[in-house]
Amino acid sequence: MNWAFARGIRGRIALLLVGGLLLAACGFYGLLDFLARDWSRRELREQGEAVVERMAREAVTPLVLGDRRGLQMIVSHGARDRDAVGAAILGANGAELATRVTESDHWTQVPVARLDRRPGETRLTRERSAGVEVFTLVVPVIRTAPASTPTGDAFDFNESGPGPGAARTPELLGWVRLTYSTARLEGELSRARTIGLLILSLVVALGLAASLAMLRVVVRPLREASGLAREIAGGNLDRRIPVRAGDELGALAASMNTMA
Amino acid sequence: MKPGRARTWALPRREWALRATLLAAWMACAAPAFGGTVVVLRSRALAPYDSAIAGFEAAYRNPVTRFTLADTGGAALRDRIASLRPDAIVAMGLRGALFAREHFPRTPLVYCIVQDPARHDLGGVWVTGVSSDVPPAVELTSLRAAAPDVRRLAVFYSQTAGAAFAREARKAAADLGIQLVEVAIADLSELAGRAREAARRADALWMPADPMIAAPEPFRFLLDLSLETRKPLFTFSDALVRAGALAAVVPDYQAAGAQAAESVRRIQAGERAGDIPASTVRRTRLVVNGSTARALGRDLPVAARRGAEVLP
Repeated sequence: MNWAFARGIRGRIALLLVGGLLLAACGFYGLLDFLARDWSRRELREQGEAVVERMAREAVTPLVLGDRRGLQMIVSHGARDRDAVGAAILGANGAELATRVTESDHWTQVPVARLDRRPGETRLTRERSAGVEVFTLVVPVIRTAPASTPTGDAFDFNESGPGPGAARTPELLGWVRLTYSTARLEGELSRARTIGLLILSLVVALGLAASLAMLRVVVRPLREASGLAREIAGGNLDRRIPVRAGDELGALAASMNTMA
Repeated sequence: MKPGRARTWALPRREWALRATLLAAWMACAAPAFGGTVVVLRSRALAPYDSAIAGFEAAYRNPVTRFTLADTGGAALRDRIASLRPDAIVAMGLRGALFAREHFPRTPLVYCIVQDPARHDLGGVWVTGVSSDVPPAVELTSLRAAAPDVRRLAVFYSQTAGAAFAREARKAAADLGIQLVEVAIADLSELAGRAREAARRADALWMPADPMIAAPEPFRFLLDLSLETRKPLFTFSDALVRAGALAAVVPDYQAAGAQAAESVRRIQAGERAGDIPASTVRRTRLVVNGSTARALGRDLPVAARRGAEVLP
């Protein structure tokens, strides 16, 4: 490769510009990619948490009543999300009572030992499968005494039933599990990355073209001045160079003309 | 001292002692008639109990000492009530009644707003009261007025505790020309499937104050079923009507309190609590949820609207 052009001022400035622009573009692109990835993962997790908590609230009644149809409706509704791999409701012994899997490649069994029995605790596990990240959220379904709600008052007033009067302490009924993957997200991010890369390349190319045009404006008067100096040194005192502007380069050309 | 004079003083002293003893004995017996201490023991702070207490105080008109079971520890509360040596304890709610029966078995107990007192063994020579049970005939008559188009009514109850209720309901329904679609369950796990099947055959759903069915989860399930099938749900509590059920026939709690006051007066007049027959609440009211009625596309008849409390 011929690096001779890099020895000239034009070459050095051009290299500096290209390097600087590429560095800035890569930094900007990397930062954008990181932020987009982080933001979308957080969104995905928050969305998953909201869905799984709603499912846990809805699952109390069918779990108490042993209503499999009601449980199946809840998991079908939960797994309808575009990013969901599947949803399941487990009984207090860890057995799956209702399951809906939309992407079986990323669906794995959750060992009973990994289920958290603490009320209100959402457990998140994360693993990579077939090139995408798979998140699994598991939240316990707890039956607590309804407090200060119209229905709670009604059954407190009833007092005699096996309802809240008898079930004051939180009771674990089972778990709700929701698994989702970043597959769709990865696709979206990849497309965004390609488009971003194209736009950045275009911007860098345009920036370079503009810089080179500017360099030409700077370097041309310097070259002319240098040629005049060489000719004066060779004894040709008749040669003049044009004064194109009233700036520093123009002042240099005028001074050189005065020397001859 | 002359013997005669000493004799003159000795006799009145004995006589005074005798008179004082007789007076004390008479006062001890007659004290209740003058209005001795009455303790009102509330199971917990709930609006129906407060209404009943207001009704009791308005009818009784003498000061009472109030306690709430949920606020005070058992032993401390027992000691405080014991120190008052009450003529009678008026228990608002089941827990208060059971507490009084356990700790003061020989103090007259008047329970109020207790559902199915016989099931909790609230009887005997020291106990009387006013239950909050609304007879099925009363309930069905009011519900019929609220929804005259209902011909087939699905009713849910437990096989064990609901047999007597079912008999009464069957008879009352037949008198009113309503066909009951009975769902008698042995276990809650049977409810969902059988209720869905019954809802297909019925015009409305009825959730009575059955000890197995009257719990939050069966209520939520039946409410969802009611909204899904657009068939009205009748319940036993105004709180459940506020939560979305169409209507309920509920006891008039103030009237129940006034009935309890009558019993207390009779006890203070010398009657034994066990000789005063336990009663059910004499007055009831129909509560209707206007929003649910609109959602179900139902219009409350004008006649029913007049006597009903319509929630917005």
